[in-house]
Amino acid sequence: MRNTNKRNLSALLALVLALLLALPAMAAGSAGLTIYHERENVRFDLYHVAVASDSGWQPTDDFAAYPVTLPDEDSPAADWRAAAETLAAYVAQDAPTPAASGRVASGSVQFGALEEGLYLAIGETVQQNNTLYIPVPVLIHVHGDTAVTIKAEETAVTPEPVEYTVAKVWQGGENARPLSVTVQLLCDGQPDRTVTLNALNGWRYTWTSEPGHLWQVAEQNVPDGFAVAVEQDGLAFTVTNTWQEPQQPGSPDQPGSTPAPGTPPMGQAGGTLPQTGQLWWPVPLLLALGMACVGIGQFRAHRKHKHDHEA
Amino acid sequence: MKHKAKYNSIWTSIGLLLIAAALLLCAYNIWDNGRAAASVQGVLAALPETDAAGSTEEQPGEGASEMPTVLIDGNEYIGTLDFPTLGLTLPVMADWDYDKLKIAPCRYAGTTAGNLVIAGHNYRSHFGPLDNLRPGDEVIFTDAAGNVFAYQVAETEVLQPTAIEKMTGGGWDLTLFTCTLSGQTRLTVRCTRQ
Repeated sequence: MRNTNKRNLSALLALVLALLLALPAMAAGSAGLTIYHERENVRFDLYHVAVASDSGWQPTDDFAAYPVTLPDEDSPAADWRAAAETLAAYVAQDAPTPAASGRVASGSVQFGALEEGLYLAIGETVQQNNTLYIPVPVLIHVHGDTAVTIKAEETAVTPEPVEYTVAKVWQGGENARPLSVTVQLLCDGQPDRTVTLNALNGWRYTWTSEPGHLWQVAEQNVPDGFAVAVEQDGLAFTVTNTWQEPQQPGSPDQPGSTPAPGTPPMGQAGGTLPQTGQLWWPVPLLLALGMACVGIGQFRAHRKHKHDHEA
Repeated sequence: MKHKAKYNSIWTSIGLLLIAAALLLCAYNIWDNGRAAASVQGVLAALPETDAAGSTEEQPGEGASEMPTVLIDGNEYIGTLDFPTLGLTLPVMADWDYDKLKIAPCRYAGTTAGNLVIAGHNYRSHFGPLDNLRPGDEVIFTDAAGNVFAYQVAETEVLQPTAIEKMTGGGWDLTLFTCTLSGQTRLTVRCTRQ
């Protein structure tokens, strides 16, 4: 009898264990992605950026730290492009583990058994015959069987050095802007230097590079309450920090955006100038009140004493 | 009779407690003053050294003028303020919050290009002596790159704590402000570039 019980118990445990093991596999299984690309043997890394939730995209752990506004189906193509470029620079900087990797064979590369969600596809840059082929980083909403075509931008490798510029643009949040921001410049995926942009240098930095390199820009310590988007137009990078309206407490997350931190903006503390005084005013007040109380006490004790004495 | 005696001694006890509270607050303020003085001295001592070593985040090839802040103890400073008539030199932090104001005066708005507004606590070692400034007195700001900006006190006024726009929008080259002793209003010193 006891043996049967034991056996039943182990069977139950095995069943629970099997279910637990099967659950992630079931969740991970259903979606697939095909990337079409014109150049053979180019490696593509796929990064899992976010999962869909009722309140919009929920970033995965690897991407939770980047204050990048994730586009939704209604966002214009430029937003998708900007978000992909911005995240690609952070990936180059922080090198998270890709969810999947593969090389183009016969014009495409297939990824199977993906969890539904938002993925960033980054292709490797190839140099051939004095031309740099840079696959455009793309954000893809993978659901069911998804297919995308990813183009490569072609840049001729000239003998002359190339001059790049990064400029900072602010949108909103006038009172919350810091005095300076720091951006990391990455060359061929490796951190090259950090530069500080501020009013004194016109929020702009210019550098010269040997030709044939892939440059990326990643903003460090994005100011609280701002989202970041880095866009590249030829040799000019623009780092835009857009003020996110602080969210009402208790309200659901804004769809398609990472929550904006609710720290008070600089230069604004409840609509008043900073309180820059020591707490001196209570001192005379407390002293006067204290002395009055002691006075009353002494006076009453004296009167009682006199009263008792007379009685 | 007895309860009346007790009642009287309660009056005396409350009075003594209030007096003790006043003395404790007084002692705390004096201690805080000393702490504030030590903190600006510490920063000032660290400043030249940081200058000599080049600003912390500066990259090779960048001019010093492009790097107007220095990092000391994790705080960014934009330079120092000199009050020759008060015999006072103070570091100025790049931005403000209440913790930073306890260490040194802080930039509240603007830049040396115009409209620079600096807030300071009214510690005797910080902006407390500002009420001794008179029109015509010199105020010198030296930025982290060593550029010197000479200002002259034009006028002083007292602003309400809600007068943010008036504080930052007057078109003055340099504005300094601190709390009045009551803490209810802001003593404001307006300066023009010489």
